[in-house]
Amino acid sequence: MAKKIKLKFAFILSSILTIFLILLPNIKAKTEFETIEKGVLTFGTNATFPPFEYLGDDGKVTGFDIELGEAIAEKLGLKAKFIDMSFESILPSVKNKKLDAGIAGLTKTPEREKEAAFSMSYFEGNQFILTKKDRDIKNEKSFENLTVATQVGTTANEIAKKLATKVKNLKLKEYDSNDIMVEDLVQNKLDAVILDEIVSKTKEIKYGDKIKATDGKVIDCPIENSCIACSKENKELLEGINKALTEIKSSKKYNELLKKYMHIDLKEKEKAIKKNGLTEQFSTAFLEKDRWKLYLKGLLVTLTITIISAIIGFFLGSILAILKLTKTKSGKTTIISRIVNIYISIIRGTPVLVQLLIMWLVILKNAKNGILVASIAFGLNSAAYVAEIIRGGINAVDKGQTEACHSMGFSQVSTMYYVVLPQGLKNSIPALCNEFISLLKETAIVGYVALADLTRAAFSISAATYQTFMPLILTAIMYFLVTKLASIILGLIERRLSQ
Amino acid sequence: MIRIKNLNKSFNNHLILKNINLEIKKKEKIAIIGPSGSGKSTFLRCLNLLEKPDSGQIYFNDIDITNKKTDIKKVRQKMNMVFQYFNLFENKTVLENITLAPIKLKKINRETAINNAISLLEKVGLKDKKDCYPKQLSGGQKQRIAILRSIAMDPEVILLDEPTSSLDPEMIEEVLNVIKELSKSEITLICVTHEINFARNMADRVIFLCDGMVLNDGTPEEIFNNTTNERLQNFLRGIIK
Repeated sequence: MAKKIKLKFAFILSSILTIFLILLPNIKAKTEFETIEKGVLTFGTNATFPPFEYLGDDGKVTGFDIELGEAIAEKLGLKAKFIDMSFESILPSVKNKKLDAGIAGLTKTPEREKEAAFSMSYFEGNQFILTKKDRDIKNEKSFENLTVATQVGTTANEIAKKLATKVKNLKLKEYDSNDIMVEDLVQNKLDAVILDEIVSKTKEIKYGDKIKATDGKVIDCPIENSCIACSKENKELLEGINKALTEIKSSKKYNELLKKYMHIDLKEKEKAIKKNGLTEQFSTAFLEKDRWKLYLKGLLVTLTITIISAIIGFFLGSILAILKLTKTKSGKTTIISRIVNIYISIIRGTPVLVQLLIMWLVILKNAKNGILVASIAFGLNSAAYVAEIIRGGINAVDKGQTEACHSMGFSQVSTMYYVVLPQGLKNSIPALCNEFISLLKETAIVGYVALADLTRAAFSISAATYQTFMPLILTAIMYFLVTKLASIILGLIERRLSQ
Repeated sequence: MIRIKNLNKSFNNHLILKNINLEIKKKEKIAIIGPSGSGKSTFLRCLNLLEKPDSGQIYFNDIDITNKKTDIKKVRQKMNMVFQYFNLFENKTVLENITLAPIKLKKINRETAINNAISLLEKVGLKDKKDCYPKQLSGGQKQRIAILRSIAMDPEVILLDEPTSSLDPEMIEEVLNVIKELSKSEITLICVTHEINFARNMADRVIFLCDGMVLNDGTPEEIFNNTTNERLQNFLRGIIK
């Protein structure tokens, strides 16, 4: 009996030893951090959030978080890379390993902690309540019967939701953009807005005579701790970031950063904000610092996605249209035709934004090239519409020609190829041109998958210049000019082909 | 050459062709006449299986074409059809309309096919239209081209489904002349028509179809001059007036 126990003990001991021996070299090898791109620390951020992150005068993302991120990467022996994307997509992208980390003034909440791991806090900020000058917020009761807005996914958003459960008749509204939200407050569409300290102060300067900021302490707003989000699976990276943060926070560099972005920033920006004339606005939003290049870059992204997805949509759509028209010999619809039908109704019955996000976060979650993913998503979407257009065009071809082909001995396929399809496509040209133009406009949502298209450029410039009106108007004009140009060119092609 | 046995065809439980039995010999020129709705066109379209018969057999050169194993495409190459509404390929020029099937199906050398088509066009006086699209042509011109399109396949049989019914009166003659010319050739013709005079002059056999049945079958002389069938007499009286 005693012998047996000894044997067992020896066995366990030796297995533990072997495991150690196997793990040891691995532990030693892990001095280099595992990242999605070797030697690069890829951060996701949302550059509409000055002074944390915004587009600098050179058109690149800059701000407190960015410089901090760079300092962290340096400490870890990595190169920092920042991807500007929609705020809501950052955490899912971290979770799906499209990013190494998220740095966007993110606050730790229990819900967010389900998605990602959070580092120690690197900045503590208060929440502020913005109202029109004539409204006083003294306590929670002051919120009765008010319409309160917050930005989706922010701490303020959580605070407002909690507040709504306690206060009578509080109406909640959610915005994607801070700028539009505060603009709406000024326009009396909202009664109050909850925002973090720095943004509130900036807004107060911009609309000084119209709005005021009240410290969130009056309603016991929790202090907002900004943290960096990491994948839960990459514990080594999280530890590394925490270690780097501890070092940075006790260094001179951290104080310099605070000074540069959190204090002086306000006064410098004050001048920019005070510019009110249209020509002045135009020159800041378009000419100054070569900002027009940003719009053009965005436009290029928009056009690239539109053209690639139009090509995918056209070819796939034509195939789908033909498959949908297949019939069995006894004249019944085939299984393939039914499957195509289901595909078309699902695509047409769901929003393209949802399809894009499913493509980015679920189906192609390992793909890094946003343009490719967006083009595929839009291409698949467009194919469903193109299929219906071409099917209509084919059905409009007079059946007699099909009969004539059959009566001469042509097969179904050659009848389609030589006679029906060329005419069906020609019938479809006007509707296909319309589809191209709506596709061009629909791509305005690709900001959700980290692409800097024309619309995203407008948001970024708006955040950098503290203007909402001019960047949006300029973007609208550019979309209009491009769609107008496209419809003229397509019109010429249409006329040429219909001769 | 063509044997039809117990052919039945119905649409929506309505019997159109009732147990038709016929034998058609090589080189025969047949006119099928009869009142509207008597099943003339349906009968013709059953012969090349554009309509599927409910029951019965159709033998072409002793091959049962209603048998599923028969490659109907091969049969159709030898049994072409001319339609009431021409059915030219709108996306092709006149020349392409005529040469498409010979080049793609019979694998005839492109140049030969074109030369052949041009000489056919010359015969009907439409050579100058060779590069036109169908929409630039009149009805009479279209139908003449449609007939040439069938001839170019060098078929054994041509089925003509009311070839002049959708034409303006002044164009009927030019199309009939082409068919008349065609009737001098070796090709077997089966023509559904309302042109009694044409049937009389062109056909060597006339079939009177009424209520889905063959009521009379004989030479033009027998059908038009010496019939004792009351239904046929009524029909002819109605048309000739």
